[in-house]
Amino acid sequence: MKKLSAMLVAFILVAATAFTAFAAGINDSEQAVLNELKTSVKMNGSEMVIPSEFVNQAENYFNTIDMTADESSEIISILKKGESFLENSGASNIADLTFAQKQTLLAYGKEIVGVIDMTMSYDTSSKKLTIYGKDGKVAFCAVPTLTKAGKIQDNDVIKTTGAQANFGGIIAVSAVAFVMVAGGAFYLVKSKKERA
Amino acid sequence: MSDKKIRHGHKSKNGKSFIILPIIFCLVTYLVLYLAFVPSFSPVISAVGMFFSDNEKDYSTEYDNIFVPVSENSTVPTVTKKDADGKEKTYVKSDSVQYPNYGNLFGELIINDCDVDANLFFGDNDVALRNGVGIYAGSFVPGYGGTILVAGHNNTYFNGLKNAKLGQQVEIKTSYGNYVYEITGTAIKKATDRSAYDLSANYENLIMYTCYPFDELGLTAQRFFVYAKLVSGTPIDKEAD
Repeated sequence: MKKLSAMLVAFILVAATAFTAFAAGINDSEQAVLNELKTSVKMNGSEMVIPSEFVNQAENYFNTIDMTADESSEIISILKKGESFLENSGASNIADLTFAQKQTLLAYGKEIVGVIDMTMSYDTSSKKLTIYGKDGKVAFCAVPTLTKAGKIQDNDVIKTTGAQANFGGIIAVSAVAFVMVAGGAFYLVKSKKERA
Repeated sequence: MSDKKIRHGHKSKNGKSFIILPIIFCLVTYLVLYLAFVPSFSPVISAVGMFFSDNEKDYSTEYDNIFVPVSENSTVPTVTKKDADGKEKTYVKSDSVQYPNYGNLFGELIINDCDVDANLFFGDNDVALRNGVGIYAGSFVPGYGGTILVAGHNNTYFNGLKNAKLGQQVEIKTSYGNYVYEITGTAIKKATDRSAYDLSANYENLIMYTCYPFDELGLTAQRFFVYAKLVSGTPIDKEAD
């Protein structure tokens, strides 16, 4: 009996570790949210959408979680409220909203991400919106904006891929140049004094 | 008396010149040498430290590594489905793909002809670009069927892009499969030029970029883009099981 139960436990352990399943893939609930995110809103006569790179980020995040149908319908219902709020705001884009309107929109955002245990914060100085995942790590960070359909809006798509790595080099070159100039000046002053 | 005073004053001046100034000069020289050579020495020092250290290096604080290379003999679980044209196609099963979170090291990017071999991160923040090359989080991972936009520094991991030529192969290894791309073109464009990439493309395409000119110090307004098309690799099944 002991042998049999030991074998059974071993089999269960092997089976559990052999088939590791991940949350990857977009289920129907997640797809419904993505479709809603792609819906346009009419602001001051222009059809505005969330930039595709932001929707892509949502899709990438959804690939790491399993959203339920209840969560999906709750998110969509808040999204619709937000869309209606934007359409009636009188503004042409998020940047044109008044402070109070931005606060209302932020509240909608916090409510949406809260459904899937995420949190959201807005930095007034950088004007960046940051969304944190369940684990507290950054899942999204950008200046929130809308765009006319088919246009890329995020100014941070292309990164600086030279300056930061060369920063040490810039300091070194500047320091060498400074020492050489200072040394030269010292030598000149000294030799002038000696001659005098 | 006045002669003595003059000699005394001269002595103190010499003392300053021969003691303080050499010390300052020595310190400044050491500082300059340190700043100039630390990028060259630090990898060697780290490697030596790692060699003689009894403890395993903990990289977890900087980034999470989920990359487990797929060996030639092993197989990735697949599923056969009909594509949009009704043709049967093999896909990597979605639940066998550990999709990377922002900042995860999840693959390797290799261009043999350009001497490029770098860790591939999901996300292109400072940590990623310091330790390899990074995919913009608003683009997609290899095999997903969209645009893969990869950034790398021009003086480290993507310095080799200056040797990129048409027809050269780019290999991307991930835990769920290996993908091969062929370079189809290069272009020098402004960093602000949004026509350099299409993030809403519904076909797999790889775009790698770095700052241009390659050996220029400081901020550069231009980027060197390398475009590549997918040659081989099993696509990921986008639908959840």
